[in-house]
Amino acid sequence: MGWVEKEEKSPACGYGLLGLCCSACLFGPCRISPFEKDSEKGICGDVPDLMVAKNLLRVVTGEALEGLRCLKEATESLASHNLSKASKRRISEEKQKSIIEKYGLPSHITGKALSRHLSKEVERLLSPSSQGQHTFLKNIFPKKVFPSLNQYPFPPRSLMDFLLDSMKIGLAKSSDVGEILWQSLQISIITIICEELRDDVYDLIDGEGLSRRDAKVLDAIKSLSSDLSPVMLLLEDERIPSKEWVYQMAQELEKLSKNKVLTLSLRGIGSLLEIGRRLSEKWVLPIGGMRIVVLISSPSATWTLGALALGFTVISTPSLPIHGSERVEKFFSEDLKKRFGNIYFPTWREDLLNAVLEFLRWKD
Amino acid sequence: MLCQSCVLVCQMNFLGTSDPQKIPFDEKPLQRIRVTFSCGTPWVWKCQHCLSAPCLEACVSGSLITMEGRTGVMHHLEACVGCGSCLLVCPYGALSYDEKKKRVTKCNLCFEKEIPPCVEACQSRALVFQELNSFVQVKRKRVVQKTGGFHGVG
Repeated sequence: MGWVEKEEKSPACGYGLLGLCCSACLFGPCRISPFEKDSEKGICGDVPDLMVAKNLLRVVTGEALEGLRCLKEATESLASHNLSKASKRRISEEKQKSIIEKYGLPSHITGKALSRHLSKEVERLLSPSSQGQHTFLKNIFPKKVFPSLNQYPFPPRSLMDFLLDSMKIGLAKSSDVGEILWQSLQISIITIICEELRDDVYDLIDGEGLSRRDAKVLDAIKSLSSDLSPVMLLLEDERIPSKEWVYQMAQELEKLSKNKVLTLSLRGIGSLLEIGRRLSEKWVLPIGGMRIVVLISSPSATWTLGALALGFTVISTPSLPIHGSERVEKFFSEDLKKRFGNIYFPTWREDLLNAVLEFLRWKD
Repeated sequence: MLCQSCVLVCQMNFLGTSDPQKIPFDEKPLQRIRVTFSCGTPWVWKCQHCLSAPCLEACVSGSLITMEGRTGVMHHLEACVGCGSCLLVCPYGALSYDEKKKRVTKCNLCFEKEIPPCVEACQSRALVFQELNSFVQVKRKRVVQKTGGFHGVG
């Protein structure tokens, strides 16, 4: 559904926007009044904080599954491409080198053998029964760039196995809100991993991955000075037209910062990984220590949570449905900042522009 | 389970916001509309704006009035002394007492708006906003359509 249809459907469900509407079981939907949060519970006994957190977990789990499905499709295409004798396209040496370095693959593998190796590794990540440490994930997220992900590392299992286990936390009655939220952040990373891998897989076939269209952005990063400077990344979802609000916000920030904030437009969430690695290489800092704000326009919750999990500071529209719980809001505005230096700015904050400028440390 | 969208927008309107994500955490507005189950059927507890309203007759301060050209019973908070007489006589239990302000509060049909927000929020169209006579006419037409009509009726 596009924005136009969304506007036509308004007014939206107020409880849903707050995260206080749960339709996880057939007894529901349960709705908790935001003004009666101390006394009301869901039919399963979930208090408002738990309901908001579990709703987020459910959304990101569904989106991560979709990401895994797309990656599976890409790997199957790669496998059939490898078997096909008709394909004679040579992968450039530069591309092969970058893939080998990025995923920590043995350097002697080239050509179709590289495609087969990558395909096998991805299959291991997708299989629910595969065991053993995946060097893949360690190499994609270097500790010095993404310390948050290394503090809460992926267990040495496949992504599918991890996802299946995560669902258990969401279903447990005595779950801890903080634990559910960390789990949601980790699951969101699955979507980003899938997108980056999918792009590389399609590069090895003959297509053009979504993030490759963001190659110009990577060139712009090269031309940045070695002194730390504020950067705004405008991340738009191709599936929907951007809301006017996003452009207005970006323009307003540019104006207030007297055009000293570099604005870069992105199309794919997978690009954030490469951008993070490149910026960290340039400024020798983890993502959380930089003055970067990512402005996201996407209906996908994993985009917002994934960017947060990587250590980026994020403003997103539509906002995350978390205002129904002070505890969950505090997690995204305070707990994250204390641990990793990044923050989630909800669009309903009245001092949003000032807060963002303060974060970018751009004040007259 | 009940949708309760009307209840939420009514409370949001009381706080002066139309965006649920801008609700302040520390405020708790009174409910001028409540929805509960009554013998298994959803029942809306709200002012019915009676044509001969008992609350209006019981009001000692003159805070409850009918506006010229309108059928609604309006309540002026500033004039209310909080005696509670209207609460006792209302057959619909549609008024509530604000302990903080020591005043009575009720649905004013949000006369400053063209359509009350509760009606706009009601996705199932259980709440409608119409002039009394037009509603009767619609009902008559429906009966005529269903029954095929009788001479001299409808």
